[in-house]
Amino acid sequence: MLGQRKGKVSIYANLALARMGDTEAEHELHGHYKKGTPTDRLIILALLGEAGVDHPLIARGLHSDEFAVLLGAVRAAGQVGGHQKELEVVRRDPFVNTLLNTSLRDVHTLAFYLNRKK
Amino acid sequence: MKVFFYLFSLVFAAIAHESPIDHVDRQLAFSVSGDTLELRYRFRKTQRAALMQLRTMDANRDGGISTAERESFFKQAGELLADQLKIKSKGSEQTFQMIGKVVLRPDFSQEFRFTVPLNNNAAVVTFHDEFSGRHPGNVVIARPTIEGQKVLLQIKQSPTMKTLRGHGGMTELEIKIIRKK
Repeated sequence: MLGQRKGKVSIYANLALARMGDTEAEHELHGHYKKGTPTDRLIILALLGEAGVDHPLIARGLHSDEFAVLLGAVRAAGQVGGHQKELEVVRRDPFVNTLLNTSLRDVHTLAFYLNRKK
Repeated sequence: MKVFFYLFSLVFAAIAHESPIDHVDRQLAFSVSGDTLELRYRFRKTQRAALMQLRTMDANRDGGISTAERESFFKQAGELLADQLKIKSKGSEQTFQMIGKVVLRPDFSQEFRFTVPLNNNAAVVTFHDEFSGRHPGNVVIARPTIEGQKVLLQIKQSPTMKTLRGHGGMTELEIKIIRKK
């Protein structure tokens, strides 16, 4: 019932349930991610990373064209481990490289998580 | 409860000191031609978001953007945007259709044109911009042209439109269409 509530509460509830192995909650997370704002996606990825849950949304986030989502996915991928090949693809991406060579806001944070050794 | 507190604390510790979210500022210009409502939808991306957009545009991953890649990307982007723009009137809902090509400007803004038919000469419609709900930012409504027009538009913010931390939430507008006899 908790996982069926709306909005941010539902995201947090489903994340907690997914962490406990609830497959329905994992499915719900896909829905939140798909319909959510970049902030929602960042929260989902950050929590997955902190909880050490290697959810398919992390790999999906690494392909995102939204900066916040990419940042969250790179950070989460580093935390859960096992995404070295995908992280290497991000590192080699010419547009990400261009971005990393700018002083635009928060880019240094992306560089930090992208080059961090687990 | 301990789990929730732990998760909340970690997320806020991780993101509270930074704002990696790219806001999208937009300008909407409405006009009526015959029985069709036209919308010029212009939004500006940040430099960071524009660079990230190129990542998706580069379909063949060669590090360059060809004309075909650019046209294909913006056609798809316009169609995706159109799906998120709706008018509602007397219980019916209609979605906008993209017309023409995107206009790209040096300030990283992109302008799309959309149309939607006004069923039964509707006098009042509400406009819903779901894209603005997903990608928040400031919205400016361009003043509709008055001089020489047979149809006048009166546009105001819908009472259901919410404000989120200093900028608009999902844009919801009431559009009154006044036809001169």
